[in-house]
Amino acid sequence: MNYSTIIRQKSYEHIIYVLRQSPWMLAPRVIVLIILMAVGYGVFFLLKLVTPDVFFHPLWGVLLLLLGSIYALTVWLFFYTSLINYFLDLWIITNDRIVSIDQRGLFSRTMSELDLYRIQDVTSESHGLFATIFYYGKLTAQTAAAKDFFIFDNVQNPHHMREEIIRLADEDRKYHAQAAQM
Amino acid sequence: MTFPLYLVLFPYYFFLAIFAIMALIDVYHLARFSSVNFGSFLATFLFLSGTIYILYWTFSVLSPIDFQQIVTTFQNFTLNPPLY
Repeated sequence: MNYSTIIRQKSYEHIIYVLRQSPWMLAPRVIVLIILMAVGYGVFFLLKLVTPDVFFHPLWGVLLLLLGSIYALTVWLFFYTSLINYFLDLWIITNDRIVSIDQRGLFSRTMSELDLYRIQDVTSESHGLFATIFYYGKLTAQTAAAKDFFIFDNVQNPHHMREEIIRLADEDRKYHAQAAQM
Repeated sequence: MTFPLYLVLFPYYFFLAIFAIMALIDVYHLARFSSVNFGSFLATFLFLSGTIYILYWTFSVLSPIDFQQIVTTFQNFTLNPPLY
């Protein structure tokens, strides 16, 4: 996986973690897909039951079949696009910084980064039944400046990742302190 | 109003063109932003398989239809309200 092109990796920098939302976050998307497909099939069979003749009409029968096809393709495309959003939404943690890539829809993308040595506070939260069972939650990394903070929702193992970010921030602070003394 | 049945296919072809463009943008985003991994590959493979299946289903139900036939509709349609 080559993330170096999107984060413009520095010579001394190496990628330690690439975080995505928990795979459990795919479940609601699949459920919505199943419901929408079921609604489509339901309408199709209801029409077949109530007005079976309409499917044999030379015009309305063809129009209904084409509309059914358009509906199925649209639902399928929206499902795929939501999966793409899932794959494009990520945190790249290196030994120097955290790069947050926030994908909102197909044409809206926010990239921001936070130096590890500036991080003062990392918070992990896990609320709710599913979050507790499937072990995902919210991770917040904050600097001394109140406005500089990153939030990553629904990340897997948030408490472990909090410890890792604190450890990496400590190491980076030591590295910067040594570099300042030289 | 009478017209050849194949005319109803043109909006469908237009939709298919939009669908193809959106799907290509999705795949481009995956490749451009280095998110090609097994999961995204599997998602793309399933998406293409599902698309082919839906298009094949559409083709199979529409293939017996004669699209050259002339259809008549809105026979009693008029813009002038009836006078009583």
